[in-house]
Amino acid sequence: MASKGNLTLKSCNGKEFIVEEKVAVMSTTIKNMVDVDDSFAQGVIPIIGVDGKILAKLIEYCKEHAEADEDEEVKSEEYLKKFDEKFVDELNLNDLYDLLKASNYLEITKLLNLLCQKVASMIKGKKPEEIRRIFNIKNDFTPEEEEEINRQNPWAF
Amino acid sequence: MKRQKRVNDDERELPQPIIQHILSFLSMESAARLSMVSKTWYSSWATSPILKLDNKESPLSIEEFRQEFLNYTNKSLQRYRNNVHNNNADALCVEQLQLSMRYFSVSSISNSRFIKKLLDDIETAGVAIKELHFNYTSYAFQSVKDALPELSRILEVGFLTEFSVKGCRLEQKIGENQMIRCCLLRSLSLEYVYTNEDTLESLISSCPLIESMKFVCCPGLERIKAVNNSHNNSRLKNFSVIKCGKTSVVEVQAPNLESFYCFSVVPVIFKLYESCLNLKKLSLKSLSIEDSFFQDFAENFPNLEDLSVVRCFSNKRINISSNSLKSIELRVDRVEVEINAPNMVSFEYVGQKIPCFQNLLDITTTTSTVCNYDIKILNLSFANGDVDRFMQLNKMFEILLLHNKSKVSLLIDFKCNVLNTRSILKIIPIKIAREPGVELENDPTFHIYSFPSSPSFALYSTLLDIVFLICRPTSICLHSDKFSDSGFKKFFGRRLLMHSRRRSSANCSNSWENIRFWEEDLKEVKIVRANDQEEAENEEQFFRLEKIFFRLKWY
Repeated sequence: MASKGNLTLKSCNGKEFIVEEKVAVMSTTIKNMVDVDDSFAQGVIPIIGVDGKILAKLIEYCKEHAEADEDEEVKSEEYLKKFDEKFVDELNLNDLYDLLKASNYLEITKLLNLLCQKVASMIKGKKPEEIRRIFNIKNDFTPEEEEEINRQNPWAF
Repeated sequence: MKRQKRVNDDERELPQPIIQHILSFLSMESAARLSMVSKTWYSSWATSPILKLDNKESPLSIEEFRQEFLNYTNKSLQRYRNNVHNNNADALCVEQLQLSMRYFSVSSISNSRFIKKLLDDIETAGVAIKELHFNYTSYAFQSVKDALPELSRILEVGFLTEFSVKGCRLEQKIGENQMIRCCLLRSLSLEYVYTNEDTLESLISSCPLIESMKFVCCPGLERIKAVNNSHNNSRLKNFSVIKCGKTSVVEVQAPNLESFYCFSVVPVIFKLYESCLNLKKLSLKSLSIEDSFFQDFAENFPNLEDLSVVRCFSNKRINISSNSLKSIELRVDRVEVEINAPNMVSFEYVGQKIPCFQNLLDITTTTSTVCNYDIKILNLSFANGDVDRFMQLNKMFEILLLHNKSKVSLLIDFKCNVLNTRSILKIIPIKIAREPGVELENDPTFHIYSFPSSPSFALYSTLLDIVFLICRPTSICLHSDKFSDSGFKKFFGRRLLMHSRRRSSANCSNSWENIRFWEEDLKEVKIVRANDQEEAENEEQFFRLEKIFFRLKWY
């Protein structure tokens, strides 16, 4: 049972996390749930489609940022920047994808931007086949379609 | 196990909104290249609500580029138009059109023609554009004024909610049958935009929903006015004018204004009509303000939380009294400052006079909020018999330290001669930075910048005395740069360390003649490096640093 000021989040595979409210409401989705319905604040909030491992990662991120919002001295901008860098660097591709989806669903805008920027930096300046290899994406175009797209924007390739 | 893996592979494709969000971080080139990756990525790109046009990564020559660029723009706009015709409700309009050109000279005729053609295309495409961002890096000098694209036609389209442009003209021709209709416009930002007062007036009066207006370096506007129009600017919340060289009058009448920012390079007269009941943030830089502006401050700005007054001319005395103010920033010259703001939690000050506080008690005793006080007093001079100044400093310190969560950083830039400090000592009581037994969470740091012009040990000794006359700080930071006299720093450090060594060998404590008044109370001295707590092994090496910290313990 969560004490006052804390919320309990439950992942899709049943793991429960007790977090401070200020950390949880970094997610706009959770904030809206708590604002609208008091029972969420007391009970358990199910986080659909997010497993325990990813939820733990999300909480780790939100905790740092929520604390930084409260006290700039201890967690300076520089500290946060380093934290963010390390956070995205340590992710493998599966986690990156899962976190992207989870932060999109939970509306954690800062994290979503951070992750999208990470993907963008992995993509920048790369050829389509390199991108497919990095992200393990199957080329589902027929040769004719490929040629057609190529013709549309020849300067891009 | 294998099966599990295959499911994962299918899930690898990201949902379209996320792909589109990723695209928004990429240049036009990289984004277009991505459309080749797979069908999902292609359709995400093709239906992306953000249309980016830029020359960031283009490997093409400028002529080729212009042609390709126009083709690309037309094709992109065509896609959006097709969506309109197919009644594809999801993609009815361009959420955002960003045009950004780097190293792009508008003064060349072909470039100028190109931009004109591009604007024509955007205008005739009949696609609803919600946000328009327009930006060159080579912009608006008077000589290229005529070559800059004229944008008032775009404002006739009427779907815009955000108009943010840099480097263009906005000049409605008199007599032409033009109508600026921006009934949906919420945000207007003009930077290096040549415009005139008539155009601006008809623009502002055509947008009843406007919430934010920003003018940066716009030449040609003597008056910037947002007053007396049909919609009363009733939704206007943010208004800022920054470095508009010709502007001498700024007038705003907006009952719900929340933030007003005015930064000028020439003296500007600004008028805020009505009592600004909702104003929360007021920033005034380099303006001329009369002392009377601060009279009835609380009535005029009953909800103001954040005030910043920087390098404003012509006032002699700032007397601010407000219950709502939480944060105050003052960068003034020789101005007397008196603050009566019981809810203030942050105070930043640079000036030549010692600021005076009243009623700081409320917040300091009732909340657990950390209060930040950063005070820099420049050119402070002391003379013999000038006890008032010591009393003032002493009192200020006492007030600031009332709250045991306050963070105090005091910087005093001394200018003084050799003083007889003993005579002053008789009159004023010494405040200790910390009450005995009360742990301050953040010890105040006393910063000292002092570069005595005619160095002598007597003068150094006076400066040291003054510091301890004002208070008994637990942390002192000594600043210097390579141009300043390092003598004071060495003196200061050696003198404190000498004391501390003398303490440790108690038997010779009375063998020194020049024991100062503060030495009786000083228990321990440590010299440490800036951020870490590392203690100096060899003090002399520390004297070469730009900043040295002393940690002091008092009895």
